[in-house]
Amino acid sequence: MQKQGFKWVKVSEMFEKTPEADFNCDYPGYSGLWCRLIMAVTSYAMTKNSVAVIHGPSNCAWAIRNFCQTDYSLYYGNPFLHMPVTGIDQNDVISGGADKLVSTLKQVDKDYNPEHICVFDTCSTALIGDDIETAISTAQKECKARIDYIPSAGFTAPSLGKSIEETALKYADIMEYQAETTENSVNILGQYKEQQDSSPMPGKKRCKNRRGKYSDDASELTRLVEGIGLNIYRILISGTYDYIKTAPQAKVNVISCPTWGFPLAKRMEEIFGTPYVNQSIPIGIEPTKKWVMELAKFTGREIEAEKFIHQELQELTPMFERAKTYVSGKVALIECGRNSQTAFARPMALARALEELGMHVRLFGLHPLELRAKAMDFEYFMKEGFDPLILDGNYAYQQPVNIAHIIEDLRLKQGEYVYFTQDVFPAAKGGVFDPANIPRVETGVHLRRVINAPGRGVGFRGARALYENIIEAVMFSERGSKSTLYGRVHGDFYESFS
Amino acid sequence: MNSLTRQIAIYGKGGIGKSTISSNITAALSCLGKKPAQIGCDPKADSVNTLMGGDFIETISEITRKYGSSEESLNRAICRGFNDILCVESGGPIPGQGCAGRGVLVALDLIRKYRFFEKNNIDIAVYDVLGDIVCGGFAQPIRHSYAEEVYIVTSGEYMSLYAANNIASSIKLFAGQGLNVRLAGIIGNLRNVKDEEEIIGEFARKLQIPVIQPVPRSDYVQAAELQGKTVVEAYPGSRQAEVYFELAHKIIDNRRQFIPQPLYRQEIIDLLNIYPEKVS
Repeated sequence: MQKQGFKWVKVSEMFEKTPEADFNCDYPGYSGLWCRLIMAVTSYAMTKNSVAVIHGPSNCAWAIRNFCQTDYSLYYGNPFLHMPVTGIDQNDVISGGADKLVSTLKQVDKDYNPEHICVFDTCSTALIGDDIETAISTAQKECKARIDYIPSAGFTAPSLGKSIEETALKYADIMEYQAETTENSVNILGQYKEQQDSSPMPGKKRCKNRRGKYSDDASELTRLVEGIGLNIYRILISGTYDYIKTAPQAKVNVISCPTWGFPLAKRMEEIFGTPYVNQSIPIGIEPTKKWVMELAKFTGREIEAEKFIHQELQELTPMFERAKTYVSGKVALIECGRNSQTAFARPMALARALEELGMHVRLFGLHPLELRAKAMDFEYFMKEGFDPLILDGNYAYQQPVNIAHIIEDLRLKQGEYVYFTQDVFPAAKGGVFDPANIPRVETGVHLRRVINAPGRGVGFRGARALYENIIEAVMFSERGSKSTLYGRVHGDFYESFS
Repeated sequence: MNSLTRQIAIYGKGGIGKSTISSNITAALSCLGKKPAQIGCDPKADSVNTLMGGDFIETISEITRKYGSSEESLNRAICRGFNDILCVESGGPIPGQGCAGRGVLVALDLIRKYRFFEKNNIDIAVYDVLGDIVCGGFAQPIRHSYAEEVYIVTSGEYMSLYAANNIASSIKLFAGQGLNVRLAGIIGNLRNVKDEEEIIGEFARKLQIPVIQPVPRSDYVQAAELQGKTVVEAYPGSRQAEVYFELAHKIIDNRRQFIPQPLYRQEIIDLLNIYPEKVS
């Protein structure tokens, strides 16, 4: 790997030496991963009873529809979204497409009868400078649904992280000022409630009447909040227009995903004065304790919080200690991405949790420009003083790094490391040498968003799930025979050892 | 592209008189036995107005919006004006909307695709292009092997010279990129500015291109336009018509083409200071 120019550096070092993504950057072809339109529309898919009107050529809408039908998007967990298109053609580019947008909006309001319509522009309509806001106000006079606009022309966003940031901000514009706040109410920002449902499945015998073995992130964060006597008001970004617009009624915002959560929290504080707790993505014991305690301090519930944490740790500590005996002193090889969707915040949060277990963490698979694009996440971890080693280099686009090369580069022997993989899309796994004797823990962000898939994430129960998975992976790598897929996914394999 | 069709483009500052000169050149060419065509490349679509008896013709943009992009649409857009001159307007959006440059580009592509010049045996095609080269669309007539011979219309006023200089810069740039486009000369459209012919002459000398013809200010122009005609049609025996005929002859005979050497802005100001305007 060193011959290819890769080297292990501190995260801060990689961030500082990487230029902003622009045409003069040292990484041609890496200035954008996804089209901003895809990011914006698929994010809006969390809004229920809504229609996304794409103002552009039909091919732009086709590309998103196609994306939403692939394994990629299905694993991402997007619900179905109506997305009619204005169908801009050559003549509209010459003469302007604003009239077509007005008539489309009126038609959509009549045909779909939605609560909310959001307009997304595309490269062609942005280049000709169609006056979308005037078109919306013209159509609004005759439409029942509220109409909003999220700028989403592909050429206007250099990177995925920035696209997310800018899209998140628009949700604050959809919200409305609330004269009064509700006591003890908390919003969770950066979470998809609708996609994470681990509630019991009545009548189903499989999986012990549960959708998965582990609780999902939204449920666990809710449990943490309710555990100190507070109530969840909204989990964003998801829900209907009414659900979203009344979010400022909450007393305080807490954050799950920093990429989504911080920009939205900051904007809500600016506009509505809603304060936020400056902790996010609580994976592992200490980060979860901090997350709960900061919320408790803000709401004057320190005593309840200390009691709650004490109870939780009593349950969790034996599993923590057991996991530690398996991995303490070993190297944690944490993959940040194995395709065009890279992650930074969650692998970093995972690394933080693994250090608690006495592991030496190494992150890899994150292109420097994608790190640069997630400046907000970076700032959060630097403020927390967490700055682990990461593999810096000019990664090939959409090509996962072969774990065997990492092991070789670090001269690791069998039994000295655990591999924490990223996404599990079938296509993304192709071409990677994946022998059974490499202990491998699946941590894919997107796996957890799919109903019926196990979640391994935040909070005390997320930590427990992580420890169980680590033990399972290490034991599996050492055994002679193979387990079944069902056993690996649903935990029977692990339980046979406990 | 038909090598028999000579294609020239007329550029210059907005309102400087490009359409008037283009139409009179085309009218004169037709009287001299040539078969010219005039293509208006401006969303205002008023280039061929005086060749059409004062009528505004339906543009390619308008027609393709209604009937789609086809040869039939192009044929609908072709009108026959004075002396059987073929007239076309590219058209474009109403002001403040859409992309006018794209309109020009699409219209010219249509003309090329359906071999308009070849099928109509056109000798000389005159592109009358909007103002400055504000974007790629308006550079289209001199890109992609359309017109390779450019004439700039200018007066002796500062802003007109400034625009002419910008156009010269674009031509130099395109020539540097390997395109065959060249500047053939300057047409001086006089506005009765003091020492105007000298100013234009000095400007051309610095650009290292010739002045093809100074066109004096004349009341015949306004009078002819009010009748919806060119001077060549309305007052063929006038001195002004003679000037246009002379210009048409020079264009027919002209074979010299140049890569201009554009000036810095201060050089244009310095040039004008040699001929100070009296302010009373």
